[in-house]
Amino acid sequence: MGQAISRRAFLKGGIAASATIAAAMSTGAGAVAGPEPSQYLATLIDIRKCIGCEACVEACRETNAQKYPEPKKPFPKMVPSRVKVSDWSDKRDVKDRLTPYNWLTIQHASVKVNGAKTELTIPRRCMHCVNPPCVKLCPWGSAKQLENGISRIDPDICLGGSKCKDVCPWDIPQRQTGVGLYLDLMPSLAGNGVMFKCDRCYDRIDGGELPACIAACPEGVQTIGPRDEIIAQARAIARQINGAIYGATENGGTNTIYVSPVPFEELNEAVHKGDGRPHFQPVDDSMAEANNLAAAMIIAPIAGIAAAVGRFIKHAKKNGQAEGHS
Amino acid sequence: MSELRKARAAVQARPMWIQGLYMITLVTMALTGFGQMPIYKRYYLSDIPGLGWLADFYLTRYVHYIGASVLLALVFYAGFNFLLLQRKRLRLTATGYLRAALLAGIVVSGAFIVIKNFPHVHFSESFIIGLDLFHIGAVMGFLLTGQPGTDLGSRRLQLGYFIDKFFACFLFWGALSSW
Repeated sequence: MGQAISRRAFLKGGIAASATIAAAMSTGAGAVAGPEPSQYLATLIDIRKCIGCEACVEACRETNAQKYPEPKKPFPKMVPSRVKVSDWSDKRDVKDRLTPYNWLTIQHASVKVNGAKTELTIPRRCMHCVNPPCVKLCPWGSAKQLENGISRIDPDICLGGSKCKDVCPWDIPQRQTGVGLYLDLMPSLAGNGVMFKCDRCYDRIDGGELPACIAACPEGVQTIGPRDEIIAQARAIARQINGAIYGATENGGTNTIYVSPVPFEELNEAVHKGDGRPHFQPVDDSMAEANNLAAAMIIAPIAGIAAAVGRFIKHAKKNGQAEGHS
Repeated sequence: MSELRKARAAVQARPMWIQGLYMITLVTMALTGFGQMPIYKRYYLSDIPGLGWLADFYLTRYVHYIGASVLLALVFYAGFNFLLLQRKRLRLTATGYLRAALLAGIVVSGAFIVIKNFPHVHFSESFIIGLDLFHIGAVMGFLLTGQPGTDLGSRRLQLGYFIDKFFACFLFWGALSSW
């Protein structure tokens, strides 16, 4: 966990930010159009190359260990009682699924490649969507997307409501109860810990290093680079092996592109799916439907003004006629 | 006819369907807006028959956007109608100005939240937190300062008044429990 934030500091910060918001809004000073998604940092995962050695998993755990939660026990009594605590602190060794202590897992799939039965192993973690619902729909702004496209959750602000997991098409973020800001607020009534997921070693990238999972891989399974280059590379490999791509268009596009020698429908059938074990299903752009309604929001004020002006003209005509009669 | 009666008559001469639509829109906006926080499922509201949809964040967001479009049309209609026709006959009270300012704040902060949700739009973390707090704070202020007969409503819409207050209390309690 990073530096702790007190309730007073949070309130002060929130109120101060709110107070400055009107000025910022009027000038648009807070708005920044980030780099084009084509320039986001994306990774290519070539499934053919993975041997399932779990070097990436170990490197991830070692590198991010200082970010893992250290919950306070006993946990606050939850109200209402049906709210379940999520405690992985005694199961830190679990590697066969995503947990707050395991941000990268290896899935296994028995499939036939060119007629030969093959055991494929697939690294799975956050897809880092181009327009991440976990970030955009977080009600408190505790999830953020960095300018290089990485999405991460701020453990100092997250209340553990798990909305990010509910809106994630792959249910990636995992909750640990007993840590975070909610303990300083109303722990029984609201919040339930902190959500954790892969942050693609954003701090290592800031320091000019590769993410730990990429640096540790002995087979060079992952490649990182600008999204348009990564997609071009993935398409070239897919053409060459008559394979398939996953992640380029899923959920409106992600920054994790898989290339597989078999169709992803087959992989999806073959992998063990469930909580903490993501699927390989097709995913529509979950943010698009409501975003498309924004056009209606531009038309609406014009319609309102037109109706008011129409009423005014009608009223003026009526008054004119009344004066003419008198 | 006294000036007060004339003013009341002017307000009540507005089409009832606009007043009704305004109240329905406000209730819908409050309901779906509050639904952006993960509380309906936790606090059993989505267990009430017919309210299960409140636990679907994408659906509540979609309905919130539809409500926002209707609210925008009504706000601009009311604003321009006041400027063009009612300004000389009606005078806004101090709380009227306050509510107009709060409503403007809700609309503008809401517009920024809509913009934020588009791809490759990056706001700073503190701006987003401030935006969220400002939006919900302005909504609570708006609902708490409401009185029967103000805004587009009339004294005939007492039910709307009580719905308004119910949501104000609900929001206030929700915000307290969230903090």
